[in-house]
Amino acid sequence: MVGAFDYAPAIVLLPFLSFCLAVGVALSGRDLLPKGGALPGIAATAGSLLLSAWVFLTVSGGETYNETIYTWAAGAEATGSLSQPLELTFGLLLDPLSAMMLLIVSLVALLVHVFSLGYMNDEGETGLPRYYAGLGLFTASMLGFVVADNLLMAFMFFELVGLCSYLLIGFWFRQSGPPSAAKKAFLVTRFGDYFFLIGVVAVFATFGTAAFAGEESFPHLAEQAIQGEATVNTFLGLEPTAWFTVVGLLVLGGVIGKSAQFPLHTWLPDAMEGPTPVSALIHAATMVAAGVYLVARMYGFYALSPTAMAVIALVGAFTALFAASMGLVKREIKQVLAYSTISQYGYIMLGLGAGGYVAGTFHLLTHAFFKALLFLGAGSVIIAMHHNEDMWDMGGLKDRMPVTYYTFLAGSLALAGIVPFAGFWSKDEVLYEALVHGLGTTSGLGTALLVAYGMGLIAVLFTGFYTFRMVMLTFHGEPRTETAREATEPGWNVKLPLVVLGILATTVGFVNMVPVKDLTGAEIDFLHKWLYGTEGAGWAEALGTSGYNYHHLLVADYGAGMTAAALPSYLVGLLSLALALFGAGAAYVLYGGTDPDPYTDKLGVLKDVLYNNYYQDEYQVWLAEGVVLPLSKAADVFDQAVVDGVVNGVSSVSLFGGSRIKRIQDGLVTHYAAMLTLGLTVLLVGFAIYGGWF
Amino acid sequence: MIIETLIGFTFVAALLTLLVPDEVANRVGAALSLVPLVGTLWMWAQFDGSGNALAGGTLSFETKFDLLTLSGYQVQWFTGVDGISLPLVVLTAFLTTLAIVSAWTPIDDRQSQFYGLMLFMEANLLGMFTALDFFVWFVFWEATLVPMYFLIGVWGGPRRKYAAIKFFVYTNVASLLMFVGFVALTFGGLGDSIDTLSLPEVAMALDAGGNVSSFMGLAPGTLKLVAFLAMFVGFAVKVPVAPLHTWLPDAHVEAPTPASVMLAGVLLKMGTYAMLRFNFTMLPDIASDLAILIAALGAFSVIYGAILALAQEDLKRIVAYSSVSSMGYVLLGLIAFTEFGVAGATFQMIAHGLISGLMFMAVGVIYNTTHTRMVGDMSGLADRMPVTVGIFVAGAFGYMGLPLMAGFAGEYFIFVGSFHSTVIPSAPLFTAAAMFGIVIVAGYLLLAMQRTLFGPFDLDADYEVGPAPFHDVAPLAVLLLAVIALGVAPDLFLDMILNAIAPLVGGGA
Repeated sequence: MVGAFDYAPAIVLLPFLSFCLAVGVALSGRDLLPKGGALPGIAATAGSLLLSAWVFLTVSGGETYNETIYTWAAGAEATGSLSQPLELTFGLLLDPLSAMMLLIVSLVALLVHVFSLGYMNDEGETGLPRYYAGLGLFTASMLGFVVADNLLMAFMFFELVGLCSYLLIGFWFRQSGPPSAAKKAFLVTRFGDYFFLIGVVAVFATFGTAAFAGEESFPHLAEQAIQGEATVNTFLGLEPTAWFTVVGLLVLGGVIGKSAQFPLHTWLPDAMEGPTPVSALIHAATMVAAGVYLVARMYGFYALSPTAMAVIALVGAFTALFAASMGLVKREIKQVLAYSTISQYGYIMLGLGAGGYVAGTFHLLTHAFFKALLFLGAGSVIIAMHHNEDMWDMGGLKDRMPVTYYTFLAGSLALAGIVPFAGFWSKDEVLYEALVHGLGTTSGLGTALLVAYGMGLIAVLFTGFYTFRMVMLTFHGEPRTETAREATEPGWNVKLPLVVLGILATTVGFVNMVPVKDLTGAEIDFLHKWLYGTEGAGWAEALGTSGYNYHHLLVADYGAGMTAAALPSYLVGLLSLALALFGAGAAYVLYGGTDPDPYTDKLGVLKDVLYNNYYQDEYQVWLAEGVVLPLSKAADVFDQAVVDGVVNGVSSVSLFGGSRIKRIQDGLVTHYAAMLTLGLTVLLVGFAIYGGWF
Repeated sequence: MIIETLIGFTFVAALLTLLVPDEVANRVGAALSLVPLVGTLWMWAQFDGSGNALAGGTLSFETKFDLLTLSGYQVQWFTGVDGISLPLVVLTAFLTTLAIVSAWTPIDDRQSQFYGLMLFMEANLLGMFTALDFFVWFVFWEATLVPMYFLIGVWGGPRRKYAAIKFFVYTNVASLLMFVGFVALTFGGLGDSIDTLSLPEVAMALDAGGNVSSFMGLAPGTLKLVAFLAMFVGFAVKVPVAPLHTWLPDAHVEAPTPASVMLAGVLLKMGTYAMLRFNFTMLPDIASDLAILIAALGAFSVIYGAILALAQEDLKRIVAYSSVSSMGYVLLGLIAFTEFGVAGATFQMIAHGLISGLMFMAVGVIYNTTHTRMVGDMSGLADRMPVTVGIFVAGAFGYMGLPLMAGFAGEYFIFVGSFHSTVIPSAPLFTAAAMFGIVIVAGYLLLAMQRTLFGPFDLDADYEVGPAPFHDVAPLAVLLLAVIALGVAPDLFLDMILNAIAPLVGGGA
């Protein structure tokens, strides 16, 4: 029977076709497509969305898919330390996690395409085919990454996502800022991907396979190896557990780069140089999401290592707090959103590291919608403000742009984590998981999780504050400039995506209301059930990628060894809600007036430190320009003077003598032909005499 | 006889081109180069060889007859291809045609001689990759130097004489060293146990073991070691392996674009091809003993070449040093003695041939238009020549190892192959060290692109800077498509390569 899974490759191929089409048009140099290629892009992503929905429904019916569809390269025999020939393949893994992610990515991509009609086309932008080509390839790469059934394929699409971010962040290449930001984005994430690639290679060398799911998958083999039921290669004299931790952390390097976690977060704020719809796509559903999605995708591997889990949780929590603190003082609306993205992905990492597979995935879901909404809302504001992004030049836009305001408000409430908006439910669950596992687990991991919980909790306060500082400065009070006074709302192509996302940002949290379940006993944790499946049966058994499997690994003594303390989730939720409300309220009090003062300036030196991002960029730029470049210049001098100097020295002394070189440079090549022949003859004769051939 | 026909035809074509008037030489040269191209593509389609040419495999298109006797050794005309040499033969013919087309714009002087030399070089390269008798092979090997010498020395930049002489002398001295090594091993060590210097016979005699006798007071083991080192150093100059690389940037900077394309695209592969055939196939035990040294040299070349590329201000020098870096990967793959290591190294020869050819051509097209290659002299070229810049960017990402392009395939195979090598001690550490090259390569290429291609347009020029002519861009586009095709479907070559290297890696050497 032909079903959704047979058409699944088209989910990836449709946006790719739209890319090819747009490239063709860009090459032709003529205006061959209506709207500069937007319509094929919209049609393609709409097609992907429909097919994703179909896949989603099929997966809901309990069916999953895990097949290889293309063999990229296959060895014939086992060599080196491998026990079986290597097969490098492409395939699809369609299970609840990837089905959900497909839906998120294709929906956000579609809305971003529609929004671009208003943001790019209506603004008289040139180079539109190039823009839509980039969007198409970006969407296709991300979708390919989501459905990947093995780590190598995931890496390959991960890199293509990086390429697309480079192309789109640097879209306005005629200015000097965007190309620099594009370079930085690719380079910083490439640094992370370096470790990821070592991890990929290590996984192949260790297990002989990089499949994510099934009996022969590397997480499963790792589990068996730890229990002594299977043997795998380990390297550098490490025991399996230690080696798996090393491999997991190597892959995590790529996650930290792409998901903009400390210390590789510095590329993301600069990436705001790209067009705003691209920012929405990068931050909500594609590039940045790719990192944490990878952790969720190979969760069965991470769940085996308490150390890796602790690192994930701590990096995430620290990033959540660290980025939120920088968001407090920014002037530009997109900068606030940029730091909020870094911070929110920190929460997702915290959730995953704290053993909250569902919690982290849930926050990935809600964040995708509310962050896409906030970026597109910011885009709408930026259109109205004629591309001035400074919030201190705005104010009073509430009455002039009501649709933008109310949808943006919904997104902000979700971001700040105010009940009942989406972000509340997911962030609350993340913090809840961190707390209960932190309290329940007695090992060092428990301590780490408690520390992480503390940082996450403080970040809630900051988030509430910076979010509503942004809302107040942008929309409330009196307009502070002429542009703001004359701002009007853009057309339907801007408003439609905002409304769709506004509804989602308000409601999507209802899919997993754990506190309500705990209070009332109603079985309404749908996402939880969706990701768990049925224990020991169906796809959960066959693929090993269900919440049940992960739960077993997390609590097993050979795995992360976590224990959950008994705490009612609503009590934990109340605490974080109170902090969020306090932060938001403080922002309302300080900035809600008609003509607010820049209160954060009173922080003095602290404000400078925050505004300059703790000088993180400075030290990284110093590393590149103050250390690496001079080093390379020195190496160049060494190479010219010493390495080449020896060569020239040898040639002038022993072969010719300095004056000879000059004489030879008269261009008489016959000298060299003669030398060649002579040398050969001498050698031959020498050997001949020695060998006694004559 | 297809190989002989193609080599013979190409020699005749070189002569013919030399005789036609300069005005038509470009088209005549290109048209004539299509014949070997079609011929090698046909060979690719008809290829039915299996196994390794030097390990008793079945050759495709084999020809063998006696030429003359040299002090007891039968010199043979012995040609044929296996899964290692065929891809290189196809690469040679493919790049020659494209390089000839890329010469149409920059070469405006003594065209008939130029295109004649290009074809003459092609004929020798085809001979070098197909010859299996040492004498014939060595003649072709040396004869490729001559046309390249003239191409650099006559049509090159301001310091062309110095660069050409340095290229010629450096690589020629290396050839002599290699020659001494091989001759000592065969004439001296193997002595009468062989009666030809056909490479398969030598390889199999060495493989049988116990055949090597003492020579000039050197015990058999020492003799093999000395011969290995002499050949290794000789080939390493050609590759080039740092620190024997300094002839390369000078040669590239002075060489005209088409010569650079051939130099980086094919001539460097002579070094790694010969290493694979001689050092790693004939003396794998010595190679294994020296594994730590060779792996370290490979990793060092990768990192050192990349760091030097970072310091350069001339686009062509950047690409030149990056070749040192990319060829270092090949060395690492070869010494791994795993299936994917050696096959990846061979694949990387093709991938790097295409990508470095693409990059040198793209730099050449920019130079044709802007008359400068210095990074600081220009900015914002994307505004004026969007298609060229688009391909440049794509090619640069290919160089950085973007997946689904040939470079990633080659590098990934090498990495995965060397990581689980049992020959290299602490293989994961060497692999990880060499892999850092993928970060540095992104650094210097992205930096150079940001400064030259993007930003506001700026060039101190009193001439029009516009899109490049079609015949400049077309070879770039063809190369890019080839790079993508090999990246998506590496099996186009990988299958036959795997088949050919299997005897070398069986049982982990």
